[in-house]
Amino acid sequence: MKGPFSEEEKPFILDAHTHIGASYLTCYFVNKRWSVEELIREMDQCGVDMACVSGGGLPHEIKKMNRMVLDAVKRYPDRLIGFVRLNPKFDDVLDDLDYYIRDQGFKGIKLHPNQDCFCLLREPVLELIYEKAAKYRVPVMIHSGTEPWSVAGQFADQAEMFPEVTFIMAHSGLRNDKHVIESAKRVENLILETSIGGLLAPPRILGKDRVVFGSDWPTTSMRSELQEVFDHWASGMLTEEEARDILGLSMARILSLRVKE
Amino acid sequence: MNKKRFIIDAHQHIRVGSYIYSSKLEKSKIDPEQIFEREVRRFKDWFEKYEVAYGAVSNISPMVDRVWQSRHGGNEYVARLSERLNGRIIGLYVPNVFEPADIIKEKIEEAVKTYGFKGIKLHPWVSAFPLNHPIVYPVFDMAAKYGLPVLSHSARSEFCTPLLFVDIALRYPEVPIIMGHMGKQHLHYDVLPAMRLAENLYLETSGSKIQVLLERVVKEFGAERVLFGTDGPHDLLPAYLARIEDLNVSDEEKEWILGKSAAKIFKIQ
Repeated sequence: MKGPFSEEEKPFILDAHTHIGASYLTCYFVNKRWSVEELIREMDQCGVDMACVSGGGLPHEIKKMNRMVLDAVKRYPDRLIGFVRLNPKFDDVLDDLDYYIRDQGFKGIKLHPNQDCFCLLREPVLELIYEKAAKYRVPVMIHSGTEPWSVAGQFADQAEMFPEVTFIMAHSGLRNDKHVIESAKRVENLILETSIGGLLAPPRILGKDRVVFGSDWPTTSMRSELQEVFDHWASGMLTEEEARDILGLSMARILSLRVKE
Repeated sequence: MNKKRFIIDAHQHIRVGSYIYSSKLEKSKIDPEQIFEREVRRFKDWFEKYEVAYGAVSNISPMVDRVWQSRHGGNEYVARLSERLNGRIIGLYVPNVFEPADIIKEKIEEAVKTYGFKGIKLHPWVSAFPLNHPIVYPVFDMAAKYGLPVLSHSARSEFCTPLLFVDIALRYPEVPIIMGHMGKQHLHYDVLPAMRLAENLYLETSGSKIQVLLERVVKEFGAERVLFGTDGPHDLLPAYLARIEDLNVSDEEKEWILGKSAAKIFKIQ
């Protein structure tokens, strides 16, 4: 991995989007389970200091995966930040939210509309989830770029409706959606996360702390996703300050983490 | 993989003339020759900066323009780029599928014999035709006649789903057909079934980021059916290479993906 900095000036890197457990892509690897040790090893090899982690897998595995993430966060409290994956179709979804966020100290919520078959703006339980997210002051990360469940206009609409909630658009529209920048400009509480979709606009277009690095490991290569940000920095598309913000400082501020800047 | 690598970028574009997302009016204010010289500089700088041996290049404008302004609609710039880049360019010809069949064939023959094009590039989404439509048959007839591989954009349009690749690939089993972007993040579930159905289908890696899919492809079909590409040239090359280096496949399989597969298909020594 090559970045435009010396070892002493290595930026703080926080990967906003990783998973352990089952893959979302069970069609390809039915039996593969990614362990927390594999995640930590990957982070070490890539120079990633911390990572937000949630469970992958199909709907029937969600509760098991959340427990697995809880175990992982307890084992590596200095490296991992728990995000609870919620399925609005579960009767006890709000209980799970309270348990993981209030009782176990998870710092965010992860929603996957197309995987769990619900649609932004069309699922009434989401309003209750967002009210609690506002109450606990935790961001809500949502998979994006998949019609009709979660596209850019829907993100902007719900960000307008819930101005106290910070929404993170995982994948920045997956390169499927040409309306991401315009939608993000409409609201201030919508953050673009870079995995797969890449960097669509430097922070100077949207504002400070509006773009965060995520890899979506193990679906993608963490090394490659990180290298993309380094490449943008090296080629001058990002200033040093912007690159350092994207790589970790912005997400740290969103999560109210104390890190050395 | 630290040793010197042999890399072919199987998917590159020069941009002289019309472009997909920009207004023609705006572009027409700048002299195309000036843009061409800028593009030559961009390619030269890129090849000097990175360890890439060859690039397979097509121009965007012949895909965008329904009515061509010159005989070859802007493909000429690829031939000229090739002359200026000392043989590092593998020219991919973009035919105008809306022209009469005999004209399409005549122009492809000229492209091969006079201008030295080595393959065909199609963009069904941008040009607006289904990949398996009979108007495209003359193109594939010529591809079969001259042994030209056909690279086409895939995904994000009903005009170029992996199933349409299968349909045309079964009709022309002698033509290597390369699925650009391998379904991206939109139709990636279709890639493995498509590859199982047609042996002359190949995949090009740009735009796709799903590691497990590529690993399954290599395991099931061999790395010989995967070609590295960037859809560039651009400065994200290190990241795109990192993705290949990070695959859980052998070093030899990585070598095939990075260059040997394209060399074999495009007959590069």
